Amino acid sequence: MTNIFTEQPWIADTGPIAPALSGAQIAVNSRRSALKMLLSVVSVFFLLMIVAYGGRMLYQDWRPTPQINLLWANTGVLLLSSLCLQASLMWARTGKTAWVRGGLVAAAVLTLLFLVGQLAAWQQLTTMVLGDFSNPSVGFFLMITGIHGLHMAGGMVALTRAMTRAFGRSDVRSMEHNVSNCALYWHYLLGVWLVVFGLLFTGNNFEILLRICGFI
Amino acid sequence: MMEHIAHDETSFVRPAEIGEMELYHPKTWLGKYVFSQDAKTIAIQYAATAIAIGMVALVLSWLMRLQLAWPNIFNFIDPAYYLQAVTMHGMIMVVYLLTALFLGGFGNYLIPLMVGARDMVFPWLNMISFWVYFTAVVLLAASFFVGGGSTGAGWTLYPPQAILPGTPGSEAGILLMLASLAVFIIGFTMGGLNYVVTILQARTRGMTLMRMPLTVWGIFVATVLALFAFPALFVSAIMMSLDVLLGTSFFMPAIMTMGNEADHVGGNPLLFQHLFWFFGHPEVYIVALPAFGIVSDLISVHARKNIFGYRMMVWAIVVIGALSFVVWAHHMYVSGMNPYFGFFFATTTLIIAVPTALKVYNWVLTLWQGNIHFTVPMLFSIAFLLFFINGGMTGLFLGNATVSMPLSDTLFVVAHFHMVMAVAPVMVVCGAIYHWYPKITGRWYHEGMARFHFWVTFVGSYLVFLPMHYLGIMGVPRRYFEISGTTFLPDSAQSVNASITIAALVVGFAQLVFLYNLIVSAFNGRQASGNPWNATTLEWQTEHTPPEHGNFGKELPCVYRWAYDYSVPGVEEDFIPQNVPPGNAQA
Repeated sequence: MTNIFTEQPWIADTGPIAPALSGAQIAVNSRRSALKMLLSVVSVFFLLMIVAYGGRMLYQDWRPTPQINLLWANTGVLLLSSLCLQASLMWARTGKTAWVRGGLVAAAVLTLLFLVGQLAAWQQLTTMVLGDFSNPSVGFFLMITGIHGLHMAGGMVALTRAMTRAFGRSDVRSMEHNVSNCALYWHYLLGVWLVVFGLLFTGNNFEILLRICGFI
Repeated sequence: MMEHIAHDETSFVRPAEIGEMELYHPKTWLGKYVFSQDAKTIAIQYAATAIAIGMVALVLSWLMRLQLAWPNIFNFIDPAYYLQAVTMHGMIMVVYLLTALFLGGFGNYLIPLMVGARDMVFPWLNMISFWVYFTAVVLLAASFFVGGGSTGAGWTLYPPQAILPGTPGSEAGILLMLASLAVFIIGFTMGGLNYVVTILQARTRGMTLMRMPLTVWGIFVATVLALFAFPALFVSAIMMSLDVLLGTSFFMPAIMTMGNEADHVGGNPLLFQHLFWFFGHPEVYIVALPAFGIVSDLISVHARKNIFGYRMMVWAIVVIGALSFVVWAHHMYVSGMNPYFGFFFATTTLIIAVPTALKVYNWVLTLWQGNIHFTVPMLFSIAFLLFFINGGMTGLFLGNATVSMPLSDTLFVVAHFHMVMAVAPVMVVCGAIYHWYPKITGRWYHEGMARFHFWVTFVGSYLVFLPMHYLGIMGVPRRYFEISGTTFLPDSAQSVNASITIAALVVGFAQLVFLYNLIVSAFNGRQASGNPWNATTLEWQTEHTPPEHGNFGKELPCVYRWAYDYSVPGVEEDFIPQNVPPGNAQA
């Protein structure tokens, strides 16, 4: 990549093309590259919602979302799901087919459990506010958790494909990249959830959030 | 699907030969022409859809102009209808025509060919991307036919008025617009990831980043901008939809509407403005950067001269892209912002003019002492320069908060942004279509009709937008249904309005000639050779014209030089293609 600062493109090659001048400077898998780009886009997406939330908190009439303890349990379930995928990745590298299959299935089940838990949290919140969503913090809660949940559900498509492949072949070493991409996506969404949950929905984080958003 | 050959990070060389089995081969007519995974077919699908919906927007502009020129003559144009036309014209032109055409159309056609790849790295995703875009266009078009009609909130869709009763289309119209935008962004993200990864991963051997044609650089940086800017619009579309559907209050404050208290409380309309313009200003460069890149190549090819300051041009594109994220609030000077905030954004706005001006100098210096061929693409390129410089200069006025405020919401702003980001990029679109037409169709366009199209569009667009500056300085407001009876405006303002309308109708007619030429020449035009412009870039070096699926022959080309070896001293021909090895250029 440093070539882009020093290269003098108007000078033509004088011999065979050297590997260093090969087109693909970034030697990573295309899917991995696309995933990283996608996660960058998703980061902007969540960052904007967090900044918008922080900006709204500055107003005097701010009323925080009621505390929902179920979210702690959901966080634990998502953490376990992410750990299962990490374990599956390690097992894929060492060729432990049965363990990889088990790890992927466990991750999928835990993710579904997380999604059901989030729906239950919505139900609890709706009851707490008596169906009145006009409080902006409630609106933010629904939107941010909903979008995070949709991302998890989207990830389930890839995880289902990985499971299908794992059950369809005897040697799972060749699908290390698939498991690795799933694991990266899950770890990332776990990270997003921890940030969102920690900053927005556990209370007493007002000042940290405002500092992050640059308001103070 | 193409597969990557195993490699390590230090010695990766993309294989020169890729077995045909690795390409997707459609077996049915539907697979080949409708649900095609060939980037070139997808490009044409994008372009056709974008131009079709763009023609709708063109007709809407005619309706607006008819009303402004001869108020109350056309009874079917009432104030609500007028506002709907204003809104839909703006949104369609900016997002559904220009963005889709530059990135989906030119991006799909040119990226794989210019970087020496067989296709995009994810052809299936590419196909889905187009059909999602198509769905977005259908949703948008559907809003014309629902109860209450399409939204008339202005293309900026500012709440609270966008969703309050009294604004045209505040029922289903606004929801369809928001849904369409959300779907568009999902589709674009699929396509955008493809463009970026193809450029980063699938370039042929020897095609270093700094040997890429500026067209690819422009599309690459614009795509990155779009990937990072569109989420802001996506978030705001979701939030506004929730305000309408669930009764949340993201943007809706406690407010009286039609004599009644609305259900909302505590929302912040300014939050929407910030989110919208965080997308909206980069959007200007999402349209402009591909135009910058393409026009650089057109000027170089048709002036038979290497682009002046290639590295500077690349870095200017990158710097403009980065700066475009920190200028958004210059669209909000009248929203009542802190003066220091305004000062910051005025400063960044003027700073972004520096790399932009560098590019203009470099285009002019490329023309300087070049062997200029006044081909149709070159005529459009020069026209681009004239419009862009004009629009850029008025941008200096509007970038300054103190000057901008009195001019805000006048036709001066309309004239400025049409000059700089509507007509100027459209000049590039036209020039680019004429330039690559022989490659895309294998035939020549009708030269006479093309020149007629150029001169009418060029002169006519000036007659439309130059007088608008004067109307704006007089104080003629934008978005108004009619201005008659306004005491501070002389009658001559109305006469100017009428002359603008006549010019607009003529310019619109010229676009029909353009489309006729493109369609008829595709069947009846003269046969074109593979490299009729004697250009250096890889798309002109394909085995077949039009290029077949897989783009290149059995072997992918190797690149030995940059894209601008024109009129090289000591070489007989005035161009050396990128894939000509050292020593093979004939002296």
